[in-house]
Amino acid sequence: MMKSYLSLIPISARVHRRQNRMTVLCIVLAVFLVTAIFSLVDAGVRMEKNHSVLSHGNWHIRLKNISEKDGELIGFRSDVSAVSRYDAVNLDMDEDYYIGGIKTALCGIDEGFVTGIMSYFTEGTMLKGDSDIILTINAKELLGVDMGNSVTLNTPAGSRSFTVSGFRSDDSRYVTSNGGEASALLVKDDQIGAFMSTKAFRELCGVNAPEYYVQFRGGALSVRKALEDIKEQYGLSSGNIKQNTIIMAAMGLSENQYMQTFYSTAAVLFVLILAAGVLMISGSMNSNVAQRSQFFGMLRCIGAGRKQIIRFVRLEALNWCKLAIPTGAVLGTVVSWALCAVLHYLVGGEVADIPIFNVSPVGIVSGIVVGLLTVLLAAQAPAKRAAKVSPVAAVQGSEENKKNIRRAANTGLMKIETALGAHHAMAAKKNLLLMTGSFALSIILFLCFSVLVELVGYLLPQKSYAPDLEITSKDLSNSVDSSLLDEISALPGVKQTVGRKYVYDVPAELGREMAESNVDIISYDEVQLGWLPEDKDLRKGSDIAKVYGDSNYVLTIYDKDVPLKYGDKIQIGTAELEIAGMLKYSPFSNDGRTGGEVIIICSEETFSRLTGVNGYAIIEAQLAKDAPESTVRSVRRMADGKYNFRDRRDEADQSIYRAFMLFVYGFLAIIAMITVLNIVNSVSMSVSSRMKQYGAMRAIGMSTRQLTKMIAAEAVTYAVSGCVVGCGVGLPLNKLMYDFLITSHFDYFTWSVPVLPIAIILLFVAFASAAAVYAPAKRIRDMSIVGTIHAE
Amino acid sequence: MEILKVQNLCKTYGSGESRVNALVNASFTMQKGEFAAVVGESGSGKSTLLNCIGALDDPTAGKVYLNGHDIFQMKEAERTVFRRRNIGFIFQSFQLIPELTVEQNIIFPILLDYKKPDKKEVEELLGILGLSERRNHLPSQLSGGQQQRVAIGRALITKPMLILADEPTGNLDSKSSQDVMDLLIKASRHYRQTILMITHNINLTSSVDRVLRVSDGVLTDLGGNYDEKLS
Repeated sequence: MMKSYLSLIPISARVHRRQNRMTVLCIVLAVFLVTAIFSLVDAGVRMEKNHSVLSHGNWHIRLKNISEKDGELIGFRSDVSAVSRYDAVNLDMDEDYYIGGIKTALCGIDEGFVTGIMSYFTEGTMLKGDSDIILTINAKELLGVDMGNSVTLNTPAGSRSFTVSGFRSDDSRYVTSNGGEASALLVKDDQIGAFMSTKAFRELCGVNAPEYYVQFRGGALSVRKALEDIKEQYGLSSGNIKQNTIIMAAMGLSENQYMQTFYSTAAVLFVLILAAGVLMISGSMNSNVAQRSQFFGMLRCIGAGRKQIIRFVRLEALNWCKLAIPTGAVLGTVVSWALCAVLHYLVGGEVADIPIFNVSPVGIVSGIVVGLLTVLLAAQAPAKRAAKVSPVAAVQGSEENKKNIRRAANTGLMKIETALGAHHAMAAKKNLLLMTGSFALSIILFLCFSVLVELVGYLLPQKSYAPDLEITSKDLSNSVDSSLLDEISALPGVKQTVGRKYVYDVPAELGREMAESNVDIISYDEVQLGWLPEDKDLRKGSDIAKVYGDSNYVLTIYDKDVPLKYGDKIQIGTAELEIAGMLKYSPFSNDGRTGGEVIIICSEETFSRLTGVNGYAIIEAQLAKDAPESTVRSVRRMADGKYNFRDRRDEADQSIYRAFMLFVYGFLAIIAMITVLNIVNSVSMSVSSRMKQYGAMRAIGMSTRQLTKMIAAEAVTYAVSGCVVGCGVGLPLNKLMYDFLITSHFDYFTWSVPVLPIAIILLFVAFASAAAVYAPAKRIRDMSIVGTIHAE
Repeated sequence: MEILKVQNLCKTYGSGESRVNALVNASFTMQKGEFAAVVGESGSGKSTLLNCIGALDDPTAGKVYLNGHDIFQMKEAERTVFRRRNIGFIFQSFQLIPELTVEQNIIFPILLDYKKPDKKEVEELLGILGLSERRNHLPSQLSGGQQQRVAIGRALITKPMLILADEPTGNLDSKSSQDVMDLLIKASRHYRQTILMITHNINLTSSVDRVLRVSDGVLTDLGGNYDEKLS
């Protein structure tokens, strides 16, 4: 039994299932997109946060230069769950602190540091009293001690006995042999780090530079409030407070400039995705309602008021949500699981910790909210349009299309079917706007996300030269025996070895004016020279071929403070050299700048001629994936105190890079998929709404080929206008994002027109348009002319 | 000269109990310049007959020859072109293309052939149709009678062998109906057009050469009009 006129909605939905399918699909897609993206981001943030908690500790802020009393008061606050002082001495091992004759770095901490804040202590470690001491785990071997044993610490202020109450682990999850959280006392293999109570520390070493690690209770809002309170109450400025970037960023509270940039980028992308959803759904609802104008006219005819029609359309839209939103949310969650599983099993490395079956409330809730919001926003216009349908329309047949047409098609310039197709696309301005908008948004999203691909490339460069093992001379001289290179090459599992020689501050005359200046000269062997073009590290116009062998051509590193250009001459001693190429940035500094210094890179042969030096300053080795651990030990032995040895395998880990790429490309794939479906859907809807007209055209003698061409012309018109607007808006946005995200941090990278992404997306749009024409064309081929003309 | 020859045309819809014989062994011929009307009750099979003759629908059995060409022997693409050049359609609901002007709608079949319409002919036709003043109007700016006149113009422009009119006056008031009938008669006389028209308005048959009746799918030739012949 029907209880109200609204009971017609589910009945009508059953009847119009085919027509509604596309609209439902659009809602599913929008919800799916948002749920998948947010679930993935959520999983990623959680993983990063867990990583950060394990390796850098579970604290929110670190306070410096505050009084002992203030520190104590902060510790008593109810919104603070743990607090610990931290102070250290002898990190450089230049003072006389020893345990059992072994150099020792010391730090003073409170109990909370061990129990609540840092994870790098082994199980069972405690710091109960002032006579307890926690040692780095290498002390077990060096001193032969274990928990409960007694050790004596010799200090300039006298000796004191402690009981070993635990160890600082060297598990790579917390601290690696080359680095990690600085507070963990990163001592070398033959040195010891010791943690003791603040009281004991102060008795022995006095007060050095104490800091307060603070961990807050509760979620983002209460942390924000507590932080503001503390700042105000104790008159603290940002100079006193250091945030734990990742943990604060995960709560959306980071003041880190980079994170702020990230937040605003995420907000822009979110708005774009939301807009794509609204456009997609409203486009689809518009044509859905337009196709049923006769039905709404009939409702008006039998006495439905305008408000009732508006309510009908809105509720109908919500009725679609009933199925579409849960489907989209489930689909999004499952896809995010699949992507996480790929990260977990296929990418591995650091991202192996990502939770797979993570149900993200953030993802699901935002999916639902976006779904409902877009549907209600999108239903607004069609609802009003449906309400405006005149009752006459029901009696006279659905002739809505005719009324909207104000201008005739121009059949003089193109073939009749092309002209009509283009006119179909352009005649209804609102529809054209929606279609262009949704095409353009896809392109804009694609162009924005492609900046992220580049950003990941710059943040986590995957360079051919990334070494696994490194041997350097102790005093930066070229004292590493060149025969070592061959010895290392001969070890099993060694893929590649390269060496570099350095000479610093060589007097030279530079440039057009031959200004006097000191330059650094670095040798590259053939392998390293080969990597430069491979890694795209050379600026445009470089001719590296000239540099090989004994020549007078060299490379230099671009820096905005160094006024050198291609072809400039450099006089070193009697040799006149010419610059044949420039590196985009310096691989020898973290920020890629040379700091105004002139660095010359030349072949080994040229280097020998210029300097007479034969030994290496650095030798690097790249290992095969299955290289035996014994190779690493052998190389370490070769260094044997004579040289510095560094194991850099962890740095070369590509998992984070791959994970980021997977995220970014995953998003791009989803956007691309949505572009295709959107285009297919829109063209299909447009064809459905004109089916009767196509039937008449067929009757008069239009061939199916001509009809297909007409639909293609319509699709191409949408695509072209979408591409024009998409590129018109997307390119400046792409540049803006590039400047904002990349150039502002790496000023040696400058924006250029992203030809490849544009080519890809244009090709993609073309492909999608072709795909969009296929199904309707088939439908037209199979249509019964008589049935179509007489269809109501 | 025989233009149309329909032989044992049958059309059946559905199967089993719901089987409907819309057309049973319909056979007749039409000479050039003949104006025939098909009359019959609603659902008697008139439109089915017209659709099959116009190759809009495939018959279950039987043959249709237009100027000696067996239209159902042709492939679909060939048949479309044949239809475009040799059969003109006039529908009850006009079926004009809403985004084309009066003139564009009329020359549409010629444009489909990628040919240039003869300006003088178009001019003359617009004059005959009484649409010279409205040549640049869109269908939505015309009355029903005017729209049907455009449809007649579209059917005439290719000088087809046969014009099929399906209730051309069904949506029109009596004045417009008379205008349309006058035009069709004029076409029949002026251009020696062969016209087959469906109507359920017995009054309209007074001005045609020949009347055919369809009843439950069976076609009966009632011969010439009782009063007089047009041509």
